[in-house]
Amino acid sequence: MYGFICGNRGRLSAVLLGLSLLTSLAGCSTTAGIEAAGKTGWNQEGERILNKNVVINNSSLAGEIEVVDMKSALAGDMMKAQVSLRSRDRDTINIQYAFDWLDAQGMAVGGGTTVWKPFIVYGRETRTIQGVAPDPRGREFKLKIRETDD
Amino acid sequence: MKTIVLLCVGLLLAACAPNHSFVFLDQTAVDQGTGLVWSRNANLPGKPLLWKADDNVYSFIQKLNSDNYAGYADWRVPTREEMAELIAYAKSLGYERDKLETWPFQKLRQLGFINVRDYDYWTSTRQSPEEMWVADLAGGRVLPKSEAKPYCLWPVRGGSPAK
Repeated sequence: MYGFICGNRGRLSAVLLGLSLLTSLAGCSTTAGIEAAGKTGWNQEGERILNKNVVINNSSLAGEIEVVDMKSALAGDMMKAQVSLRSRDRDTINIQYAFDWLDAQGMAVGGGTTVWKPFIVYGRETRTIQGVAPDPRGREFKLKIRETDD
Repeated sequence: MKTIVLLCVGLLLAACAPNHSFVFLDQTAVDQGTGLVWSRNANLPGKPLLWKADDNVYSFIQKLNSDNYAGYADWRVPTREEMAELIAYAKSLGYERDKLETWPFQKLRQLGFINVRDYDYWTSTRQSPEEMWVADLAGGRVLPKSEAKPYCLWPVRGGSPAK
């Protein structure tokens, strides 16, 4: 066994290097920020509810911005989403946000293109971001928030 | 002696059972025996509705109440017992399995209800996380069925909606 490991040390190093590279690439594929997701559901009485989920991929941004509320409603056939953010910082924070919309089966609607918009949150302020589904099939949203490059 | 006892028990049961007597108004039918007020139109949505979906049973009842339908804002889905009682009354008017004209939906139409469908109707009584009790106005039975399918809705108000 020892002989096998020593004999293949170079090959093992290459495999380990490849694995670590893959892991770091996989880490980059998610939004390096905060994702606030809401999915339409119904409770046992048939009342419409919003199943909420917040995913934090950037602990430094999560230390500055907090998702305090998520709501959704139907405006005609279109799903409307509202997410309230609160700044934990005393300084102004420049962020960008984008909505992704999915249908009841989790498939992207509205072309699936992500459009990032600039957004400013002043110190200790609570601000609300609203979005409307681009398509009547939209029943799930994902609000992505990231820091600006500057 | 046995016959007399049975007769007494029968009379007692008949006395305890709600004495249904419907008063039909323009949009409602008042059951003077139970105090329940049924919508006279037994298919107000005009189509079967789903329990968990957009434009479902819940939102239809919400809309009836926000519109103050027939002057009331406390419409709800009937319970399993209320539907079973209505079917039992319809059957008591003369039911023969082989004669379509005696089936509950026909008897309820003959009473004065409109749009009674020979179909399954929602009750508000849940059997399991996936099943609700559903009233079949054709066959005259109330059985647990999948909540994922659409059924007709017959709104009711009043009474004591113990589930």
